Amino acid sequence: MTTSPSALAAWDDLVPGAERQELADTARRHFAEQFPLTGVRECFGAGGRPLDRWVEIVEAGYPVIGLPESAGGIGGLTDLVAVVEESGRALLPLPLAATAAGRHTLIRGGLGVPAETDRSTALTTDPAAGVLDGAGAATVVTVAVVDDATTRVAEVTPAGAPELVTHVDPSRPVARWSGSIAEGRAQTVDATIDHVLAPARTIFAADLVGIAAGALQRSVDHALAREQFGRPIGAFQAVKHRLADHYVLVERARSLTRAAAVVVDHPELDTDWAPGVLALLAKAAAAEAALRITATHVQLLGAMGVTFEADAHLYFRRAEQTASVLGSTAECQIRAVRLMGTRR
Amino acid sequence: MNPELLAEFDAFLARVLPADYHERYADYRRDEALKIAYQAAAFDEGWLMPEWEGELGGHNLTEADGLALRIEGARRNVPRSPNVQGPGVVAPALRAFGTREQQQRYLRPVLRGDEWWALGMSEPLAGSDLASLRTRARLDGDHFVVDGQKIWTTQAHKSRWCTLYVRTDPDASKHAGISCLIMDLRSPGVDIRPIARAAESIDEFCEVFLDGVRIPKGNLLGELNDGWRVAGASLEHERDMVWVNNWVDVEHALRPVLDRPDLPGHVASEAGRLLADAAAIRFTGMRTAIGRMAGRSTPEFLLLKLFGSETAQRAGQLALEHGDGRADPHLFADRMESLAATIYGGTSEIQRNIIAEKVLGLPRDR
Repeated sequence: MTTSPSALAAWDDLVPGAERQELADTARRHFAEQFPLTGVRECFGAGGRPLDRWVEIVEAGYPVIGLPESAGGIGGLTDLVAVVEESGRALLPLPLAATAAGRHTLIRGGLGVPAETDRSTALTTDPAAGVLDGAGAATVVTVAVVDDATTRVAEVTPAGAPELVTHVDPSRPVARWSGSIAEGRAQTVDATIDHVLAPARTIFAADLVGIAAGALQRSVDHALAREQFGRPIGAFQAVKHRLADHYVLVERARSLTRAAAVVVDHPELDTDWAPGVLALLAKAAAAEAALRITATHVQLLGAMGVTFEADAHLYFRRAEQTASVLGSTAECQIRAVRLMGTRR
Repeated sequence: MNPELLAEFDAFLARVLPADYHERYADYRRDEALKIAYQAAAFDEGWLMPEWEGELGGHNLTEADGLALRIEGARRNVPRSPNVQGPGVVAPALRAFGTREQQQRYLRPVLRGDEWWALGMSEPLAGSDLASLRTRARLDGDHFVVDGQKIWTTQAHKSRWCTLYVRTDPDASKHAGISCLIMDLRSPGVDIRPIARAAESIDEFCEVFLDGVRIPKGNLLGELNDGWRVAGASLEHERDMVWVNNWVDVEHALRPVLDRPDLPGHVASEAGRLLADAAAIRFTGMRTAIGRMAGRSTPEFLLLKLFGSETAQRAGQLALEHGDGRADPHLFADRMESLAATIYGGTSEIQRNIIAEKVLGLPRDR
């Protein structure tokens, strides 16, 4: 029996079932207990990032979620995005999103995933510009346009220690290798680059949704606790309406991210968009939500928001550092429109 | 959903809609005679309320299949009910709160469209603050006697009946003293005056003056002084159709813009944001429906009216500015209509209050 794209049962994964909810709840507790924001603050010091703790993420089994069973994987991309959203909320200072994005892109490129190692993976479309969260990566996956309908995916092994370009977020720096890079496996696939990047964009969208949701919750907590004029500032419509709009931004991005994950797991449902478009829209929406909500979080705290002591700048830095990966909001939106236009 | 059922629905549509319906949808979408004929045919053949039983315009579908069929219908631009609050709000309220006698008398004609209904809610001094309504009903023997005034009452002049919200206990707190009465709009003492509209695409609305109107006691809908709950519950029944229609309307407005080959970057970016919005309305709506059917709490439901209606406005504006036909009268009509949609059914400001208070847990502002 064919499945109608409107049949609700086909889209059940838009809402986490008991098992996936349990997975997300467990991840949330794990990150909150083992990786509090003090760890992000320590990245500002000489010690840098706690890359030695990547093994704890591996042991928890997060990086293999959504990979094929042949690669030791379990579950689908919908399960992975539920966990990555939690790592985004926690501002996890370890490369879970980058690793998942790299490995899912290898699968998209028909290259298969190497056996689980205790080192991370990363992804870039522009090796010269650097690799987000690439430090410590055993391999970096590169993706390049061959032509409108063909894309090349390769796996490279960087030599030596990278230069770390911290930009704005030292807990998620960009790595750049100056020396020669040995290219390993490579494959050219008959698909647009947007189709190849769909899982990776969906994963980064989940990370950004988590950042946005975490900052929104902190804004709400502050609006309830801080009193002026004899009442919580969250009682004033100037504040509450802004937060209501931000709630819409978070849920808009979350719905798109889950839908983008569902169509990676179930390509037969992706009938109304050109391949890769839903992931472009999810990534665009999540970046917009994260940028706006983290900036408002800084503002809502008043002068406290621009101190080092308040955590607001940590969310803001993470959002700014991540928002433009694999295309800014405007770039993703324009690309989606062009793909829909050429589809007819 | 069973594909044969969808094929059966398509065959029905092919039979009852004009051959050039999809080609000339822009004209047909405001064709009242066609909408009236379609509603009656859909009722007679069981496509109007797919989840309901056959005698009441239904196909006995599960809630999930019923919604899937409504979505397929909306995507095919099936004509919307000309008196949308009849089948959309009043019929579910009658089913939930009506006595057996009330259901026997009113349900079939409201569903088939043979009798139109108005919702007597807003008053000159009770708009967003609906619970402060002042129209008063006092019992006199076996009748309520009603005095007061309603305003912005959609299609009152074309309707036979009205669900009239009145204050029956002036001493109770403002939400607790309201009742819902079924009023015959032909009763003596009812004076209906249509209000001139800014554009024909705005639903026709009226002032309704009530002077000593006698309504039989048996026309109470729900319990005495329980009208606030009747109002809330009956408006909820429209919840799925509102987002489905918003989603379809946004996609419809976007289509000609997306088809333009030479879109400048900033316009393409805004079109892309709307493409995301349309998909987000769809998937957020589906999340709420799937979650509800699984017995989960679905707070995101509360954003759909705000997000859907405001997105429709931006889509209408983009289409008007950058579509093929600049200042096209059809697009203007849609745009004007979209400006009403952020007012009726609870303004955007009220929606933001509801989200902030019920979902985010922020304090009330009053």
